Amino acid sequence: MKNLSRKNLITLLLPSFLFIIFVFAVPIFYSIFISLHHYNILLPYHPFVGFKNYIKLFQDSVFWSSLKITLYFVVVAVTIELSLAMLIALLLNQDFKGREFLRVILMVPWAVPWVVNGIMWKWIFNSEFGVLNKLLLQIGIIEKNIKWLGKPFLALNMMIFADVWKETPFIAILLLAGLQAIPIDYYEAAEIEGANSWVKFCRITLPLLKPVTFVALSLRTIWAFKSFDLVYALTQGGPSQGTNLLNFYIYQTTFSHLDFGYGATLSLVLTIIILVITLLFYKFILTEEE
Amino acid sequence: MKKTLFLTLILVLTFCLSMGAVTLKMLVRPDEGGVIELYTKEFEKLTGVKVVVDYIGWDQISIKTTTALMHKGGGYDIIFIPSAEKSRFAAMGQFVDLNEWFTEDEKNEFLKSFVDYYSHEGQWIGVPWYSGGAHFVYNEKYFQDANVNPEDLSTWQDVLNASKAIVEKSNAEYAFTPSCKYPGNYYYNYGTILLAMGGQFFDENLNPVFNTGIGVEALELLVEGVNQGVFNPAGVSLDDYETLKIFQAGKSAFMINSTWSANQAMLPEASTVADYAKVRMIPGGKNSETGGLIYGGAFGITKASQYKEEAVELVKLLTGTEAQMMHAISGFNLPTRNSLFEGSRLEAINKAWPVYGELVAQVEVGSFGPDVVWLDPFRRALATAVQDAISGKKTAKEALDWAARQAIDIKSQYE
Repeated sequence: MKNLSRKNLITLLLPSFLFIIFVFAVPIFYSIFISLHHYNILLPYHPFVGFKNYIKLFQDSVFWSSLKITLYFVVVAVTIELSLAMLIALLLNQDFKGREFLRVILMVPWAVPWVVNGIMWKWIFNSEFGVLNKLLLQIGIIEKNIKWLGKPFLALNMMIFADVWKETPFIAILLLAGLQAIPIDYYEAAEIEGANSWVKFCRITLPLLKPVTFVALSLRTIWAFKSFDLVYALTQGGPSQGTNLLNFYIYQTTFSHLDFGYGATLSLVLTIIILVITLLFYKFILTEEE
Repeated sequence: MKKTLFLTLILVLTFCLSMGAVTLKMLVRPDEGGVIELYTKEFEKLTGVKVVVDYIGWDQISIKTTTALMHKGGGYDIIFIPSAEKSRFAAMGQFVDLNEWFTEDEKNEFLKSFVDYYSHEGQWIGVPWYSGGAHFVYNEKYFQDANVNPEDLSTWQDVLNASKAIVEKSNAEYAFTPSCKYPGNYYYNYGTILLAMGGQFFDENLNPVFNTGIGVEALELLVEGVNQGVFNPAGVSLDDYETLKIFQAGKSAFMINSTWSANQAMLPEASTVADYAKVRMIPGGKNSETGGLIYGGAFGITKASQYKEEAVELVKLLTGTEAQMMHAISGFNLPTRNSLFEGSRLEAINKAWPVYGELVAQVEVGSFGPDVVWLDPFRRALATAVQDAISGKKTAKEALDWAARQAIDIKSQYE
């Protein structure tokens, strides 16, 4: 690096710099620009409205309801996924027959495309023909069909169920990779000191998994905030907007109502929320460790 | 050197040949009955013009078309215009005025109501291709089991009363499963019941009126049916295809569904109740017509098209008498040409499609939904209101008042 002249350095960095400018910076600044305008493509003019779209957002009951639903979805889904994934990873980290086969099978849900996953669960949850009702009726848990997607809060939880089914394997594999990187010597030393399994898990496994947990938690949280395909294929945000996640609301505003100005405002707010949450994770998980 | 020269020659020849060929690009919804496929091939044979058709599913066509129109037609010469999108596609100003390409006689061959609907600010922007609407399809056996004569049902209160008897005395789990999942499902739930009862969405100044009088009564009837256990509450999460499947499986005694679905209910290979599925006019109010919501599809030609003449010829072929007749018989879509509602052609379609006459009668008394550019966001608010009322989150009046406030707000954003 020391041998490179300033000119050569600039020449080498320029393509990446330009790429970042055009692919990231320009769209972001253009979004900010649009969000300051009444930008509906069906209107002949797109006047500058200042922060009117941002003020509208504070008065928009659908936005607040979507945000509340999204936060519930993210917290519940990611918590369940992380907990389940940890259990699965710990299990798959043991030495037993068929472990490799189980690891492969585990990845199947994650390999299913999102839209296919949504359509599959739509039919599984179907109140009249769905396999879930059939199964529960056959084993006598329920006496009549349940309208899984017929009530807003129940539908939201069923959507979380579908999300957990699909996303848990990915986190499990990430955690498993982290588990395998922990030197066995630590556990052996702890055993000599008389530590039981729980102590070993709390004092060795969890602290050493922090970097991987940060990656898994950040990625899943970001992806959960961005959830769109599942809502689109499974519920379309209903009933009664009970599953209207923020990203789906942005889609409706932008591409259905064609209100690009307000859609850009909502997108920027979602970006800021995700950024803040990721920074908080970083602060609490990684900085503490450093 | 020789190799390079040879390759250059090939490239130049290919370029010259491609410059001479005319290629039409078309954006359209899925090909029901294979009519587009057949007639575009015939057009290619007759004219030597190549036709590239992009078939886009119903769930994506709105966005695909919108983005195409935002970019001067997106390279398409012919674009399909569903009736529900007519106003907003027209507002984007990318379609030619067809009055310049069709003679008055040619124009008069189409149903006037459809030509009028596909006119925008004095310009005719879409050649009507097919028509359709909401229909009342019922299971004759269930009605007989309950000793209910379907012809005696003149009001929706009669329907509600009969529904109780049907659920008690027949094998139907529910009398009716409304489709209320998508905004566009207003054809098959509250929207059609409102119109059939003689109500309307907006007054002449586009102020909401659906949250008063008949409007509230119509939704209260739906809610009452759900509360009494005769209308299926799961309808809030079901679309029109799913409610068709429920009817075909013999779980519902009647359905309000599309022209295509009405036919599917009668197909032995698709329906377990094919022998009992019948159609009657949608019951109405005390002194009203029995028309529900209707819909249609048309072809528009983009201003940016370089081959308008060829595009017009293709549209004429696709919306011609023979193509529309085939579209009716194999695609189960009602036509838009006057000649297909009379004489020998009417008989021919009737022969292949026995309920054709009844379906036509229903569409003849129906009306299009609100002709506004903000129809989609309005329908979305209305869908939420219907779901809120059915799921008991709000009363019918509260839900409709909320939708009315939304409608006023949405409308103001386009002024």
